[in-house]
Amino acid sequence: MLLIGICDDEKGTCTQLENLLYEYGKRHGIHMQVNTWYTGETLCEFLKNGSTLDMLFLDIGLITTDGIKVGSFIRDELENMETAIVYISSSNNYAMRLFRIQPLDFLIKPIEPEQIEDVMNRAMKRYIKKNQLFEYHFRGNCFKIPYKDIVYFYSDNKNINIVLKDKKIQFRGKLKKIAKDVPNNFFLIHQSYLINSDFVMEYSYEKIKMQNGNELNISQRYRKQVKEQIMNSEWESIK
Amino acid sequence: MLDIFTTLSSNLFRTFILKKFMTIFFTEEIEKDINEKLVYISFFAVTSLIHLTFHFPPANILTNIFMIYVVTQIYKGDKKKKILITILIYGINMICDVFSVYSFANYIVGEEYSQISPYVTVLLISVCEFIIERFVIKKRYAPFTPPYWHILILIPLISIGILFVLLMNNLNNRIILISVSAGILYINMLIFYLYNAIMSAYLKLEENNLFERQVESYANQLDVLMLSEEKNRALCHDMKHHLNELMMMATNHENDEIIEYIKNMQMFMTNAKEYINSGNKGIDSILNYMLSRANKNLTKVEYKINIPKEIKIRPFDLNVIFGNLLENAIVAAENSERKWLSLWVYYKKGMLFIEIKNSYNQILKKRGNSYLSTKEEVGEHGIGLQNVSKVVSNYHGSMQISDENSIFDVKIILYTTLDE
Repeated sequence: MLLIGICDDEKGTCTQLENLLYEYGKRHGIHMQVNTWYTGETLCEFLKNGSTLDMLFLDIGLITTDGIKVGSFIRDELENMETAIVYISSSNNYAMRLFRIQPLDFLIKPIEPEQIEDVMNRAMKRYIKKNQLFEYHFRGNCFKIPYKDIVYFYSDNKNINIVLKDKKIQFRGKLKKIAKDVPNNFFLIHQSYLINSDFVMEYSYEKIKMQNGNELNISQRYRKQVKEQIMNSEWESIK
Repeated sequence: MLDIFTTLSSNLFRTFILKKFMTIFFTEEIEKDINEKLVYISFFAVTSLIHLTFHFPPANILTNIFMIYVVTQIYKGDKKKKILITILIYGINMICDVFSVYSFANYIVGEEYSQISPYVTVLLISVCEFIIERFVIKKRYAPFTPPYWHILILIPLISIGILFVLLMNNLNNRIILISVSAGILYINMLIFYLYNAIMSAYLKLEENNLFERQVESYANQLDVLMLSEEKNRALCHDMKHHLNELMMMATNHENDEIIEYIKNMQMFMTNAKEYINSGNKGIDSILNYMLSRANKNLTKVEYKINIPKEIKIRPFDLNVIFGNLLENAIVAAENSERKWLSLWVYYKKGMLFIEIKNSYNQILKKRGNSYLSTKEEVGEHGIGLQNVSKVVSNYHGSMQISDENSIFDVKIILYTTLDE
């Protein structure tokens, strides 16, 4: 079940969007539930109580708590990077702050059915990919963690550490071997660092800033390769 | 024995000078998988061997020209340019050789000559190289073939021919040979000067085009803004009247008329010349200008631009990238059946992603790694694209070009966080 939220103060837009989404679901056989909010405050209240959404269509120009505030609330305070946010607005004049929230896309009113088809196709691709699992063995047992929860791997001596949002897991293994099997959104940026690009806040040529504020250096040998991976993987996720 | 020593040592020096010569004309990038050292060593070995076994000028001339051309293959560049440079360098080489041999004695083909003259030759060549490097060629980075290259190449070719004829006829007049070779040397040095002059004139022309386009795009943007302003003012001015009209329709419950009226007002508000209003002046100017040109000439123009207004890329660089690529794309699409163009610009995580796709028809000319536009003007081939890749590398970015099913596709990524 795909949980989708719409937050816009124009009721007309909400109804139209809701209909387009249900139509998309019917066409592609996707089971979904669409909920609507007319203000940013009520949506934040809903999310604060621990409820989550897979996808959110969010108006930039909400009156009191605007789309940027809602977006920052989701990303920074709830530390939720998974909800795919699609911004809605009536012009293509965007502030840098909007991009820090890493929206999946921007829709310009009036919303056309093709726009929904396109953005939903991408969201679904992302959704399916997110649920792949990483397997590792520790003391004879096999464990599984979803890739989407892994921020990065790093190795020291013969150990591999998996850094998750809130904890760290250690087991024995070789990072080079793991790097071969991970999905293409994982980049080897150093011989002992393998990062999940979904948690990247900002790339520069020499270093990467992560969502949690950590800065990781890209070692000289890997810079070209990282650039190629950005070209392939990030491109895939925005097209 | 002494002969072998002289030949090998002077030829070794000559190989080093050749390497210096090459770096004047070619940027240092070496095409992959070719070993630079190996190529120079084989140049040295082959020319020495031929010289020692045959002692025969035609054999020397041919192997030298051939081997210099082989050496040019390790550098990036056009075939025409490589031929031109080969002949230019060999021309200087041969003239210096003739000059120094006859400065010491009368030389008869196939016979011994003074043991000092090879060193004098090398010394002369290196003086020429030094002069060219220091005082003549200033635009080293220009990776393209100069226009009128086929005229430039004639002079060293004719010089080589004249000296060859004089040499083979065993003309035993030292004064004539020395003065002729000195004169030819001077003329050939002038050719390098001409080469440089043509190159810089051409670069100037290219720069001018760039500035012209920038000015035009700013003028266009000014038009766009003024039109928007004008429309807003007009609408405000008539607002009272519009509201009255709408109120009247509403009291009469004329729903269809109200919708029609509002639609008309919306249409009046939209500015047909404004394709994008991202708030970033640099991007808005060049894209509104190029997109309005695209819309005038093509049947289908698709675009999607998701970028923040604070993006940090110099307007000049944006002009080079979008101006050149869209210009090429529009011209190519215009000549195709579909006349289709798609522009896609997206910002994400500190990076700018650009994709330009267009339909094309004519057989695409592709030489080495640089794609050429289908424009036929002299020398204009591929230079725009080379400028684009220069800007892209300034931002540590990369560019991918592909063509499939009559669709030309250019993808670019740039890092925008250079200053921090």
